[in-house]
Amino acid sequence: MKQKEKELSFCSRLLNGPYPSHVKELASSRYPLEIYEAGLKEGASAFGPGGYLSIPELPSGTSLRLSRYPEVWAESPFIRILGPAGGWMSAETLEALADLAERYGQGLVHFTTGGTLEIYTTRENIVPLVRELNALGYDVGSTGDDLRCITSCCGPARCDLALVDAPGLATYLGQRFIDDQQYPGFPQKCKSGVAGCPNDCIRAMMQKDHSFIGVYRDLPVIDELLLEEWVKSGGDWQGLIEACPEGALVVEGKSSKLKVDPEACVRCMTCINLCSAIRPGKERGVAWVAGGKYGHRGPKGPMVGYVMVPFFPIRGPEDYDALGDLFGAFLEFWADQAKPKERVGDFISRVGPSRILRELGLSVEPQVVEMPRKNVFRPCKGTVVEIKGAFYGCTG
Amino acid sequence: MGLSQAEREAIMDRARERGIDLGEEHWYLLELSYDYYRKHKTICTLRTLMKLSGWEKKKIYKLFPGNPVGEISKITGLPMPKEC
Repeated sequence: MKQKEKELSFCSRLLNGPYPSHVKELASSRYPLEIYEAGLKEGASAFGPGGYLSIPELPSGTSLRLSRYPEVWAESPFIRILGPAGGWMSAETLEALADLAERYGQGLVHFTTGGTLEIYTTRENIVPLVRELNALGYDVGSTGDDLRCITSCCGPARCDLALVDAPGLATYLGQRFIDDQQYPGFPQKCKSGVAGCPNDCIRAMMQKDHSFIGVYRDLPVIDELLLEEWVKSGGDWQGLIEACPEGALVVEGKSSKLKVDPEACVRCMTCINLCSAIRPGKERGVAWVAGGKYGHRGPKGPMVGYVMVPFFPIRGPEDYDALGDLFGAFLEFWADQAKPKERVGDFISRVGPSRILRELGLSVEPQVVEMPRKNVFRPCKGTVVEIKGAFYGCTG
Repeated sequence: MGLSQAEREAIMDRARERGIDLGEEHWYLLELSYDYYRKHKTICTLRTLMKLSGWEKKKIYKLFPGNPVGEISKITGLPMPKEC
């Protein structure tokens, strides 16, 4: 053991150190730590570039990493399992996946940031592994130039702030667009997610190419009785007013009543997060946001998504079809018009959000796309042409 | 398509080597690829093939599994699209 620790001088620090430690997890599987150690010693990654695995039965959902140390581990093929929206997995499912990982792989399961799970295996084991996985009710996908796994936050199943049933909508989209997740055919990958409220815990606005975010259109609702109790129990009244980024919380006259300024409020969640007496408004729906990406590739580098449409009402699952139609129509438009390897964000910035909205038959609101303002529900005075003319000092 | 019987048989042999038994629907896609090649000097991308045939992506993947455009290129010997 001592000899092994000497050989793994870099890894052993984490192997013997306090919790948490990824090396402990790797060491308790059959992942060859020597390869990780060799990379650390050289100051480089243990693996070189990845590649696609051409398996006729599986157009998507399998991939490969090529090792830089073939004498230890030549290559690492893996399968990518489409995780359920919300990220839940029962203990029973986890046990079944663990069993598959033990029998077909290194006894290691990787929970990716994209809402999928990866099991490292060998080329010859991929098809039997996927067959067993299908028998469990799971399937692979989400590799290559396709629609990636549609993630969501936990929504109303676990969170008191959820404005829409985010996992419900993500599941609907995932089922409707399953072919796009399993058969590559887009110019680039397209990540997608559904967030339940503007807190956007899944970072859909920044990380996802094409996403929906739960929003409310009317004003936050203040329960005066609860607010009094909140103040009596030590709630920071002044801090709450100052926390509003737009200064939209105002005290009414000399009373202790709080009021929301409808012109200034941008429908964020700051006051709602701070004070349990303030709840989101009742008119709820989703904002369609497209173009977010963390990656540095592409002419625009990392981008925050464009708010394409600030509000689509959602009363229940009966409204999902219309959102699905929009989701699919935009994917088709992007796939037809984008340059090879052009992510959604770069595409929108090249083509312009106005043109995309017009092509999809949606109205172009100047306060949303041409002169974006924080309060997208407060219309601009004038049309897009008039506003652009005034801004650029020209007419028409 | 303008292929001789010998050329057609060579294509069928290459397809068989790659595990594909060419049927009527396969030949329809190959014909579209040859037509496209005559105009553009490459075969078309998957999206163009979907539009020309009017078929869904899944169906094309079932006919030419793995990488449909790559398979068509290998079977016919025609060059891949510039985008690929």
